[in-house]
Amino acid sequence: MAQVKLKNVVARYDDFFAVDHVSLTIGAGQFVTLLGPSGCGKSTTLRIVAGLHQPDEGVVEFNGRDVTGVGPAQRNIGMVFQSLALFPHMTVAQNVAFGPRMKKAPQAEIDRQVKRMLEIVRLDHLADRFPVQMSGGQQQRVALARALAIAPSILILDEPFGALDRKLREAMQVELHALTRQLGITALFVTHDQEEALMLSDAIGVMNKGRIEQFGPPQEIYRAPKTRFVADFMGMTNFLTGEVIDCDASSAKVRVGGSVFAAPVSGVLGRGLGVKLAIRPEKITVEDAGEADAASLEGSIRQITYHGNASRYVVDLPGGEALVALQSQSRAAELAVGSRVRARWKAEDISVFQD
Amino acid sequence: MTDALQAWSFKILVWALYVFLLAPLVCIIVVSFNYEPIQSFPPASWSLRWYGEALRNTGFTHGTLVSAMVALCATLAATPLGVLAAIGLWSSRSRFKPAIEALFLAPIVVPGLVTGISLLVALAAIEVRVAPVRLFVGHVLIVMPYVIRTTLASLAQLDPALKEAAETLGASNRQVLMKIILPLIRPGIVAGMIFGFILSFDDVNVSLFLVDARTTTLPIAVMSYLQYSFDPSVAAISSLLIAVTFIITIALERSFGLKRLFAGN
Amino acid sequence: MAGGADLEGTLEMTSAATAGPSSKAGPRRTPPLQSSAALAIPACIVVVAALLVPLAYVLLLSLNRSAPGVVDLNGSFTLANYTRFLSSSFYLRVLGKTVYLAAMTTALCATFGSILALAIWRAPARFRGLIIIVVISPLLVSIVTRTFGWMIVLGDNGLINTTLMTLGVIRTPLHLMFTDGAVIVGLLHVFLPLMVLPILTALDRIDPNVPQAANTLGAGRFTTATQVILPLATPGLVSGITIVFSLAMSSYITPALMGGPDSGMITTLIYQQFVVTFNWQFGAVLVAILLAVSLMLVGAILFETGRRTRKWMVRR
Repeated sequence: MAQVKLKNVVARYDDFFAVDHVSLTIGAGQFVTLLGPSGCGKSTTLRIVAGLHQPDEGVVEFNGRDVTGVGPAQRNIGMVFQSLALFPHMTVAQNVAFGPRMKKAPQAEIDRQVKRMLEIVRLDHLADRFPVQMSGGQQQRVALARALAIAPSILILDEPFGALDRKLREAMQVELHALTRQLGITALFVTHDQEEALMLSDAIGVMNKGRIEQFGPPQEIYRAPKTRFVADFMGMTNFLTGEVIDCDASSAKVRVGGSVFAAPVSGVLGRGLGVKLAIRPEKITVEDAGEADAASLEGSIRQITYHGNASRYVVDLPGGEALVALQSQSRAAELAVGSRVRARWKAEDISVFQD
Repeated sequence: MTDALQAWSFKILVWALYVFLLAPLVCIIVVSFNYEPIQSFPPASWSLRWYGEALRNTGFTHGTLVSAMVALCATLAATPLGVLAAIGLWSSRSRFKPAIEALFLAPIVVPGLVTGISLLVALAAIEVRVAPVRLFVGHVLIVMPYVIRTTLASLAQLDPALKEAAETLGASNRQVLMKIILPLIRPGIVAGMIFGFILSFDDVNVSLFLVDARTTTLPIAVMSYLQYSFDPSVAAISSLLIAVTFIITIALERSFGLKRLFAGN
Repeated sequence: MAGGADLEGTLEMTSAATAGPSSKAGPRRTPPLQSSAALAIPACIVVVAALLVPLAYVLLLSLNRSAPGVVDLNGSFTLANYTRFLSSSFYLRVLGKTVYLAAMTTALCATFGSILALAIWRAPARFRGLIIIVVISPLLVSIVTRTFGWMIVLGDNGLINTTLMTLGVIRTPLHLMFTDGAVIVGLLHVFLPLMVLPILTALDRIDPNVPQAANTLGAGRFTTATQVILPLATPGLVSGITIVFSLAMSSYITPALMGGPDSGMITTLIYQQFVVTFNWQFGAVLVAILLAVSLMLVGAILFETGRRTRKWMVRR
């Protein structure tokens, strides 16, 4: 298993930076995901690690060895493409055998490896089928088996589950998680789906406009986003405009509208500073407006949509901004469009970002 | 063989093939400027006199006229037939569809020689021995399959939802055809017409048996000329044709893309 | 699928036809565009009348007794002309040579055509149009022009001989014209485009990630091209091979001009029968045999490749 390092890698098209000075370390045996919206540079970065794209600047290292100029065939990587790219004219067994065959392994060794791989992905009974005869999930597993058959230094996956329906996607995610942990393999995964990233990874790099905005374990990315973009992308979609009234090293008091809220901070913010308070919809409680209360915001409901386990409330606030809250039915049986309501939350659920 | 060596030998081979493809045409153009009457290569001295000779040759000018007229008439007749056929095929779900497609492919697959001979014999049997008529019929057969192919290729790229949207908005069949389908496939039709025209103009195989002493096409006139006289005026007229054809083709490629003419079945 | 839709179309046509002056309240239903396969009928008539009927006529003529100058069909039925062909070693040799030259040309064409198609496929988009024009250039000029050009290249005073003599490689000119090699070169030149374009179309249908996947698994360029890319372009290859082989078998001008009157192709014989000896009936036999052999060999190729690719080919 290899440790992979990217040092200050740049991919440029004229003036546009697809990958803007990205540095990254993927530890041996670690599962790292690059997460971000379309066009953020995650796929290009992945292709640079794979050797399919030459960076304009920077260095790619495998186990300390500089492989920047080396082609994919010599990097010993196992890659799963978004379209799977199975060889349609070869059977499952021949697809999986391709990599070992290119390494000129003896036939007995190839057969052994193919058999082992197909057993791991539970497709040994379909070894002589052609890809066109198999279901989407089975094709996925063939692609995985093929990539793993060469005992690669790193497994690279480019949004492999994007085209699958929800149920199959979840099944494949579980399977990939189990497989990579079982084999102890280094993996680099790319996706735009934050739930997928949280579930699969040892570490996540959230990318935006060619840069990594935050890199760390999933819990940290989820609970303590460092930038507004990361917060928004990870589901903290409410941003309220406010002003710092008081602040010390660990907590700030912020005024929003007519109310004042406490929020945790990681450093001192100046008085009068314009900030945004970010909070997740599911952390907001909406209830019937009773008496005025300094630690909540008052507003009226504009829209209610039903989502099975919870309902989504859009609340208009005085001052023009709006809140989105997600809560279960039993909590708010009498709420209807137009109702005046009060929105509350706990101080520890807020993140503060400078405006 | 290392990867770099493979890449280089591939490149060299490809460029050798480009040279192979263009060599005869380039040589013709070069030779046309030869001052001497012999087709030596390279020319010892340069001149434009053979262009004048070619344009003065009545066999050539007459042949050009005939070729142009035949190509024009054949294209004008083949286009409506072909376009309607393509649209009919495209919107049909009849079980005869593969058979009809094969039928339209037949003029391309049956060798030109055989087409020409068959037409000659069959028309002679019904007492039609007039060269222009024979040429016209034969050349319609040359042009039509290409119009059908390119029109079908254009239709294949047409989103069927467009037709359905128009129908739900109240358009009649005729309106759908005139206002939606035809304007969108016009590039394909034009490409087929132009390519068919070029092939008709340049044709020898089919025309060989359909011409007579009084009415002959340019390529055949040139071929006859070559049999007893071997001077650069042939090169001159050929160069003129090459130039015109290339200009038209470049324009076609820019607007339509020529690959679609030869999509495999 | 076709059966159900057909029935539906037929029902709609029938009900529209029998609706008559409408006694119903709503607007009368116009037949859907689906039932307008009829639009193709005029073109079908043209092809049948101008090609198939004359062809059938010629084939029937081959079964008539030989009568030089006579073009009309008569009632006589005889296989004498066929026997004359099949029992003559001369004619059989000519047929054999034609097949041989056509096969050689097709094989060379397939090899070089694949290389050119791959080159275009991998070329940057801005060069693609230009390269395609270069590749189809032989088609755009008359066959006479092409052959004339080759005469200049291969002739005793031509490009190759002059270059080699100036470089001192040879002292007397090589006689390159009027050889079998010259015929193959001439045919190759005109058929390369017809091979390249179908292969290119097939290549464009391949998922571009597939060769990249082969690359990541350790395959070099040559291996990727021969084991992954070209097998997937089989439909295009087959299309090109069948077209080129049929055309090569039936080409007349190029072998006649490049190979001379003794080129030994069956098409030269056909020309002689129709234009020199006016033995239409025997000429018709030659045409029939040419067509039959071509169709049989092409059919065999199609059958064999169909058999091999059936299991994995996704047909569009």
